[in-house]
Amino acid sequence: MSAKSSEAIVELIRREFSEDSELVLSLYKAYRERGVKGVREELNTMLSKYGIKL
Amino acid sequence: MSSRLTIDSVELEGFRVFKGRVTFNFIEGLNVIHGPIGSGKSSIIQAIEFALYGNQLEARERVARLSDLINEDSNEATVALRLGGNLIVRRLMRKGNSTYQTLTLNGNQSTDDYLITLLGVDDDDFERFILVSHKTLEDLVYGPVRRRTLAIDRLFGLEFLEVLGSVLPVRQVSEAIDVRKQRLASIREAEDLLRKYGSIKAALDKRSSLATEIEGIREQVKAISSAYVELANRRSRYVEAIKRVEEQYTRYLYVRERLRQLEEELRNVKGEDYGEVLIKGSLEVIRRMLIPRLESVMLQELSERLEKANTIDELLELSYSGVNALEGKVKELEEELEVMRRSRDDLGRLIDRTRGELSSLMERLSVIEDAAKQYAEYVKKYGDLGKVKAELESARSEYNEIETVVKVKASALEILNYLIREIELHGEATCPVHGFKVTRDRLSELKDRANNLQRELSELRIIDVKSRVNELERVAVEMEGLYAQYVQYQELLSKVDEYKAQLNQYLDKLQKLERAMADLEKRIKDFRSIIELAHKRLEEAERRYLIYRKIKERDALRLEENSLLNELKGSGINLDEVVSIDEALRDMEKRMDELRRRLEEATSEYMQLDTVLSRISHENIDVEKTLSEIKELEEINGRFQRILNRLNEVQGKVRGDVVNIIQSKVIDLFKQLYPYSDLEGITVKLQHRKGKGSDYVLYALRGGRDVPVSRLSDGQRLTLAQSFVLAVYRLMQHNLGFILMDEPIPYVDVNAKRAFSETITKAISEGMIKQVILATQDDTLLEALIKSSEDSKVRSNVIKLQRPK
Repeated sequence: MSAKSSEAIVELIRREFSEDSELVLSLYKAYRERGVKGVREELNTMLSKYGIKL
Repeated sequence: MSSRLTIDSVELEGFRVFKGRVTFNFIEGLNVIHGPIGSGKSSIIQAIEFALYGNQLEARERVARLSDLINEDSNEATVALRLGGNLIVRRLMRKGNSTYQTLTLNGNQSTDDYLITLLGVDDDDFERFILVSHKTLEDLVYGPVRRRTLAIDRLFGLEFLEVLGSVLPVRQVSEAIDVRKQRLASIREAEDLLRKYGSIKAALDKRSSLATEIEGIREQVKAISSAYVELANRRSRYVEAIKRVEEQYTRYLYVRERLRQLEEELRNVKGEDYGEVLIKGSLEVIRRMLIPRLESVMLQELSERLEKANTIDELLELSYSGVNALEGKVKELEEELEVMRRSRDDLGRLIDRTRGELSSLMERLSVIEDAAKQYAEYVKKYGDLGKVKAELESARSEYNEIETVVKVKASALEILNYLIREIELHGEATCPVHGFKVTRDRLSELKDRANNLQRELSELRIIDVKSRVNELERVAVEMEGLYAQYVQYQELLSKVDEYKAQLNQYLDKLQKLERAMADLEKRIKDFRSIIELAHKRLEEAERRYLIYRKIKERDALRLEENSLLNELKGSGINLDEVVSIDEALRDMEKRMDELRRRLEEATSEYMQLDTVLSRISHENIDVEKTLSEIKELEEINGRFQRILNRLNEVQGKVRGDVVNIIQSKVIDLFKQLYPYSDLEGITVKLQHRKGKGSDYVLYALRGGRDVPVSRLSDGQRLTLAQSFVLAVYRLMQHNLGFILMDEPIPYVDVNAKRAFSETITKAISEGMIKQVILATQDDTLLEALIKSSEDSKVRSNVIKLQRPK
């Protein structure tokens, strides 16, 4: 995917969220691939072991 | 712009409503697909999107299932898209496995990624500014500020930040933490338990060891209790006998106990070291040290009382009072010394200042000293200036007088010499002044008179007088020139004397002050050393006095004990046994107290442990796992919270950038697309919501006033929305020269449709976009579009569709 806006957002996330950028980037990737549903799925994967379901 | 791809044609087969193969051709300029509902307008738009992005339509939820795109009577769907004259994108999808697709570019197998690279736009950006829906346009200029903010964010690809802010489950994670904490709270001591014992197993071991210990203590208490009862019975047998001599017995017990204490305390004490004479002697030394000091600071009364003190108690008390009084006095003297130090510092500064001024005077003196000395020499030689001037006046008068006489006499002498010369030459002469004749017979008389005149002239000494006048004039001039400096010199000399006298006074005063300070410091030092010494000796004397009194008490108690023992033995009581029983009973009571205290502690700890451990076992909670989960969840929530906190700032920053883009690009485009004078411009600001991020606020400038966008006409609003889309379309680097619109303005009136059509055609005629493909069922919009394209000379192509039979 070579669209410019996503590249700019990735760069922005890396720059602005420093220590949390990997987490935010994984959520952004999920958003780009599957929309808001994808973000929720990603968070569910992260939190389901604690019994949290979004 | 010229290299951007436009769509030449799209060929469909088995795609949605199109069962057979059908081709639609497009031109550069305006293309309108017009037809009733169900005629396939949206299918053509969707086919273009499918050809370009395939699976992404399902992933992006543009369609529920990709297989729904295959015509119900067909087994497969094919879309072939011809772009830019020579690029053919063909995508084929079969029923039963819609995820399997074949994509070819100019007949060669290709991939989605390659195609996207070729287009320069991914499916996400495609939806932002290539495929323009009525929702995109409406959200940008209709509805509340919040909705508009999200629409603008989305247009610029920033909506993820908003999504992130709304989706991070901080509340749920907090609740999960709370649930765990509540679960642990029901056994709230669990954490303490782990902290205290290290692990649940260690706590279990502790509980069982406590149970054993409690049992042991109970048995001990039981045994001691029965022994205590037995002893108490034995003691009661003596009680009757004791009652008769109760007072003596009680006293005996006290004396015995006290004596035991004193014997213990005085075990290593030699009585001869603590005699009264010795103590009094040391106190006498202290008294002799204190009395003269007390008198020297006018504490006469205390001094006299100390002098009269006789007993050790009096001596101790008054000596301590004396020392305390001296300490008070030392403080007063120190304050006095401090005052003197400040005076000395002030005096020092005064001396420095006076010295400085004196030195400045001396400098000024040295500058005019030579002049003043010169003047003084003149005075010494000629007298003061007045005298010189008087002498000068007198010399000048004398000179004038002499000069007159000299002139007369010189004239007479000249005439005489003339007459003598004439007579000697001619025998006679005529007086040039009076005109009478003089003959030779008067020659000798004339010569005598001439000689006399010559002598008289030489005797007049006019040259001496003249030189005297000149000298006095020079001296007077010089003295006048020097006079002012001389006077100043005298004044400065007088001042210097004054300052020197003042300085000497200060120095004298400083010397006295320093002497007084030295005396005072010496006195304070003396007092301090005396106070320290007296204190030390007083404490020692007091300590000795205390021991002396204990020795006296011990000696008296020894005598009393013997006397009481004899008295009690005489009354038939076996004191040793009674005392040993009493002591045993006291020991037992003490031991019982200790055991009961320990029993209480152990039971309490056991109960707590037992309660907590029972709960843990009952609720089947893995405490360690729960605590570790709480820790992990708190870490996760910390990250979420940190992201949310940062998010506000980041959103503010990027929205600020968007505002700049809107100001520079969108508003320029709006001016181009809306060349009417009723609106002077558009302004955009970022409005910060208190603690809740920010929003874009749009205003139109009308008649010099800001008007909210909500008060603009539909046409003006749609033009603004178009400006947004076109601005992003132009800003992004991509290779597409077309925009697709599927029923872009379904809910507006005819005027708005006309305005919208004008905007579209103007965008094409101004070269902002090469190709627009717009699908609509709206006849009015179609008419408006055709009219606008004709008016602005934009090429147009209408594809008419009919509902399939």
